[in-house]
Amino acid sequence: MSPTPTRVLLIEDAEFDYLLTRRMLSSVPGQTFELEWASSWQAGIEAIRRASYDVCLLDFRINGGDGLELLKEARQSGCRAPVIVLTGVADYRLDVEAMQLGAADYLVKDQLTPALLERSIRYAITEARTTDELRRQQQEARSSELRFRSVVQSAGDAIVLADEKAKIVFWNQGAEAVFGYSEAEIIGLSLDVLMPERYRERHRAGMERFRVTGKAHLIGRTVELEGLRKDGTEFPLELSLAAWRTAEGTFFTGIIRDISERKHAEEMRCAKDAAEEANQAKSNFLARMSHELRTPLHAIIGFANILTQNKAGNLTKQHLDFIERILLNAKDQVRLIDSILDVSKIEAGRMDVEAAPADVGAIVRDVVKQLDAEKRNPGVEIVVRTPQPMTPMVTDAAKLKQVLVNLIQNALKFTDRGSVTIDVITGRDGAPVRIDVTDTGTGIPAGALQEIFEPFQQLEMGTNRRFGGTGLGLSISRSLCDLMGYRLDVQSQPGVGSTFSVVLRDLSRLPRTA
Amino acid sequence: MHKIAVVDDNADNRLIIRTILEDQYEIIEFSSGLEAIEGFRNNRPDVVILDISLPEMDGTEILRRIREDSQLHDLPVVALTAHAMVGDREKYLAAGFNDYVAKPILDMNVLFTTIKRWAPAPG
Repeated sequence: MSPTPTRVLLIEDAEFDYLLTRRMLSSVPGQTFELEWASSWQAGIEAIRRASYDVCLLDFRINGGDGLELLKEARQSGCRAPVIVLTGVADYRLDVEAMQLGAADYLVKDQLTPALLERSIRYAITEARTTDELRRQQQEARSSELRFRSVVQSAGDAIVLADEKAKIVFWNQGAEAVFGYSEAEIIGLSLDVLMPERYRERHRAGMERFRVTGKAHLIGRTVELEGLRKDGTEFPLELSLAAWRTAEGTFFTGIIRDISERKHAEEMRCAKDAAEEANQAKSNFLARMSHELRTPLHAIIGFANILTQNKAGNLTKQHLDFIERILLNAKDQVRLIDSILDVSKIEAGRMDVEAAPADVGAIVRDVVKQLDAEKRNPGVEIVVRTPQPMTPMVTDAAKLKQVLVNLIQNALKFTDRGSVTIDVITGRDGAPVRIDVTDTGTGIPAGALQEIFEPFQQLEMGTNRRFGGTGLGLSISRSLCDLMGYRLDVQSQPGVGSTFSVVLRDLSRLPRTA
Repeated sequence: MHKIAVVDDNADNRLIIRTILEDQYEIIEFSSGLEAIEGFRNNRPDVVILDISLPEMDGTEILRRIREDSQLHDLPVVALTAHAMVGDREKYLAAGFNDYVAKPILDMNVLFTTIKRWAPAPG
């Protein structure tokens, strides 16, 4: 029993029949009807267009037109309510015609009872609801399929359907993009064309096994394989495979993703990790080597130093001379170790720039003071020319110092007579822009000016034996300059001398980089 | 006379420091960290010269224990080490060593100056 009244439209030109209908409906027990009466064809059409009803009772013969015409008109006007046709006479032909036009029932007026009318109305409404529901479901299924299709079509992944004979029956745009075949080309072909030759036999065997046993290794899993494009190139792919049975047979759905880029990125990351690891191992090795090489030298230099003091007073002049030579050689070895480690660190990319404001003039004077004390050549004078005052500049003091030590030591090494002059040239703001180290030594022939910056290169002019050293100083100096964004230039005239110039730049704008 | 403790597992290294400093300082030697910390509690030195690479307990760990010890936390500790690559000095000073001397010691004056900084007016 419906708690809300059933809305009924009666299209009937005879008032008597209207009153009769109203009485019948009001005598139905436990149910209320809201009856609206349209007394002409035109009024009926207007009522149908104006409002919605649960059910429509239509007199077959009505003023102004044929009831069946009205029925057609009503349907075209969008009337969805079930229509029950009422007629004065039973006529099988009319009955059939009304049903064909979609009437829910066909009732003869003089056989009508309240119970019969109520029952007919109830059936008509239920029937209409069922039809509506079906229509709604069909529509939903249709739009759901449309939605599904558009998702499948527009998916970036390839989506491929094949039947149980491995014939391709569906191919989305993603598949076209991944494999290069258009839908028209591929539909009906075997899945074989999508895989390299070497997989085909195994694939066929797998399909056969699945047909017989219903078991497959790949179903329900995601695996990485290689695919074959139309142009014959192979590419790494990720495949998720599903199988489903329908009345038409078994189908396979493959979702395929081209993972070339991911693979490439993985390889790059692996290579980078390996390089990083190797670099770290190299650094650790260098640190250990440095420690192990220094430890025995510590004892050698330590004891030699003690002996030079000759506390007991029982060493001869010759003994002391020998001890001095042991010391000098051991100290040379320490420098050699430092240089080799520096080269290794630079090559391993383990050298960091530590920039801070510094007084370049003071750095130069420090270096000169140290080297002047060690100088083994009394015939050479070290001259320092630094303008005063000098604006501090941001630099890596330790590295700049190392560069200057190398350059000045080199200059001293190759100069017999005259001088080694260090000039600090400042810019308009009083900050240093260049440091020149000029000697009056042997000079370097033009053809060798680049070579001297290569590691382990020292000019072959019979000087190798005369001038000790590793041949690493200039190479290290240039690497350190490169690291700081400085430039190390050289100008030279054989027999006259050489000038090495460090062209500086302020490091405050440099991010601290490795 | 100020007392200088030398902690190094290498007997040669201890002998060098002893020979260089013994005219001006009283030297006490230790070859391991545990032995050293125990010894410091009984006989507090004025300066500790501490090697880094030691078996069992390394110099950084020994320093940490000294700094956590209520009696010893303010001991001046000088790192004397062959860990002497660029940046090592800064690393050990940051770890809490009062001073740092690299092995090999090229100039003995460096050692004297450093010790004097922490044990002034030797006598």
